[in-house]
Amino acid sequence: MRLTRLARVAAILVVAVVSACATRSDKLTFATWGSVDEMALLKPMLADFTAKTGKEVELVHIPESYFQKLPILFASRQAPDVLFLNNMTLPAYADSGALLPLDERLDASPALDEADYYAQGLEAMRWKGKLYAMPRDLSNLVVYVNQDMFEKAGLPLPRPDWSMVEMLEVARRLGSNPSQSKDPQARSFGISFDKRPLFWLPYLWSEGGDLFDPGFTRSTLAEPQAIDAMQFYADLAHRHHVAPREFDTGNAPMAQLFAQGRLAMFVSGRWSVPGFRKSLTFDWDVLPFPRGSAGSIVDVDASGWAVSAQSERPDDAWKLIEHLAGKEASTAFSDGGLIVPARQDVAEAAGFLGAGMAPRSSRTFLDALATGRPTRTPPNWGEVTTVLDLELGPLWRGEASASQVLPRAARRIDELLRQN
Amino acid sequence: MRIAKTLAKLPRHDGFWAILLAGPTLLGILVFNLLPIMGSFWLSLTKWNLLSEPRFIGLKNYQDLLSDSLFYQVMGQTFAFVGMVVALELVGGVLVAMALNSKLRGAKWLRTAYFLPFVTSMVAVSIVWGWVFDPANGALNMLLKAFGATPVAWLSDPNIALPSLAFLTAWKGLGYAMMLVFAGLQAIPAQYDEAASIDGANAVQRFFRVTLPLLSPTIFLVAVLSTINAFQAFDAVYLLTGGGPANRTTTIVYWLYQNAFIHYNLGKASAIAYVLFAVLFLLTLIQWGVRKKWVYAE
Repeated sequence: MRLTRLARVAAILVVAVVSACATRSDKLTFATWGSVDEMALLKPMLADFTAKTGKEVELVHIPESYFQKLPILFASRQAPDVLFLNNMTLPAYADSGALLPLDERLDASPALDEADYYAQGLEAMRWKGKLYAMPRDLSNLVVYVNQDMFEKAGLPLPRPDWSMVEMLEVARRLGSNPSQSKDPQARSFGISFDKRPLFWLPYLWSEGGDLFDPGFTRSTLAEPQAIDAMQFYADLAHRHHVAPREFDTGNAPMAQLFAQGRLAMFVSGRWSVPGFRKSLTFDWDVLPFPRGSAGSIVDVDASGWAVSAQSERPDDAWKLIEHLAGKEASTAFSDGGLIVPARQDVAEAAGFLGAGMAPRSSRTFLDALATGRPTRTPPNWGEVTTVLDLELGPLWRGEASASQVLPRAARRIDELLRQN
Repeated sequence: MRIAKTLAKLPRHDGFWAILLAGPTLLGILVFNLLPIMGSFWLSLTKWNLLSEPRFIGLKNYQDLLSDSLFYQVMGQTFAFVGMVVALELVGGVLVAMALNSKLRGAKWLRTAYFLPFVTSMVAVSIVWGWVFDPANGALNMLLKAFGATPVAWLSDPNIALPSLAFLTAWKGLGYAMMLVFAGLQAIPAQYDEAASIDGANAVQRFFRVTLPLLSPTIFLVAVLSTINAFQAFDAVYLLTGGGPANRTTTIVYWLYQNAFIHYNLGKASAIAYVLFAVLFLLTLIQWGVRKKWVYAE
């Protein structure tokens, strides 16, 4: 009697706990990051998908710390069927077998045609030759210029095929002389500086350097071209004083300096356009990144949709990707000007180029795709970035030269590559 | 009536009730504490990136840790950080509490003011101090510049960043230490002080010979609490420095987080957690052992 009552209480507890843990709906799950504006675009697309196919989609919106939460979903066997990711993080997932290869599905797809996409975008989503995600957008870097500052300095806008040497010269004449104004609050600067890899990779690549050899067997950061390129970038801030040092601007983001009219040239991506259209009070335009000895090469990074290898409905998952990567959805995503679409047909259309709106040279974003390249990353890219951050710190702070820090950085990256 | 009958039928045995009433809590501890703690020990013996299956590698994570120079650097920094925070909170807490205990005007308001940071979220505190520490536009450097001094890179100078973080952590915790010490002071009967004073002891002697010994149980409590608190420091590091510059503000808990959720190296992160556990366990044993030597009336 006693035992059965105890057992009943225990049974109720167990059922409550288990049912709380195990509710997994039959809906297709889809994880993504993105702003409120992006969600407002996305939700009607998902509703449209449900209306067309009868399949319901559960949107898992993770606006912050996405790449900290996503692997936990995989580890707990709760991985979303469709997930949004970018080319820098893709190798970690693809290499662990967490994603389904999509080549055959794309070849057989009646809705999507490989030829409609920029080759660089698809290339960015490959790992060891296999395609693991359909790209939504490509982000690359251009140089935003404050035309009023050029005019005031009596300088013509540089031609699109300008070189690094010209860039340094122009920057010198645009920024205020550090010896004349001691107060950094009053100083203006020629060109932006950011120590994150995204922003120094164009300097490295354009001078013929790279981070890794093609097979990810070793780091090539200690080679002479790489050392020269990285030293040139550090010198912009610490030798030529045309770019702000941390002391000059503190935590103020470069975009803020540019908007305040204190920065003549700002290296940034497409994401700056919507805000600049609203807030800038001066004339502005975009230029391609300047040419080095190897050309003008910026990062072409892609974000897109992949299918989890844990998915129990990979066919439906692929259908959703077909829907989101199609021409209609892609047009809706890029009309606001936030992203460069991965689809060539959409990018070339009037909506994206935004005729009549700043920047006048909108095409620069598309032209830079042709010469740019995706950031190739090994599966343990997270650890590599930690090492880069640590070892390159003295260079970016002006405390050591590139030839002092890069050999050690390369050795430490070599160790990490051996662990893959 | 029926309820009474049902109740009467229930067993009278105390054990049954004990298990029934403690059951939900025990179940919670089992599911959310004990099982994960055991699970993470198993994980510390594996290589696991969350995405593929864990692979058993024995004690390799521990061996790697002990031969990693960064491990000793992080440990050293954590102890330095804890030392600074505990010292600042103890000395500051006692001084402020003494001042507020001395019939100062507006003492009530000051007590509230000192206590406010403690009840503010660490995230908000960190964001505000991020502005204060800003090298170009921050309040601290504005002040230095007003006096003609060279500005300091509070959070990006490798030698200053850790003390900066310790200072803000102590600033936040000071109110709590002050409150405990204040309560301790109020519990000391005034007669002792008067008696010492009649015997000819001056203020300094009275403080060191009477007040401080009687306050030692409180000080011990504050020391233990702020040690535990400081060892768990994460928010300020995460929000203000990301462990930099040059890893010089990487504390053990931040390092654990970095290995688990930025490097996806759960095995190593679990091993760090177990080493941290061993260190804290040892430290607690030492604290309790030493306590008998200096804590009054125990």
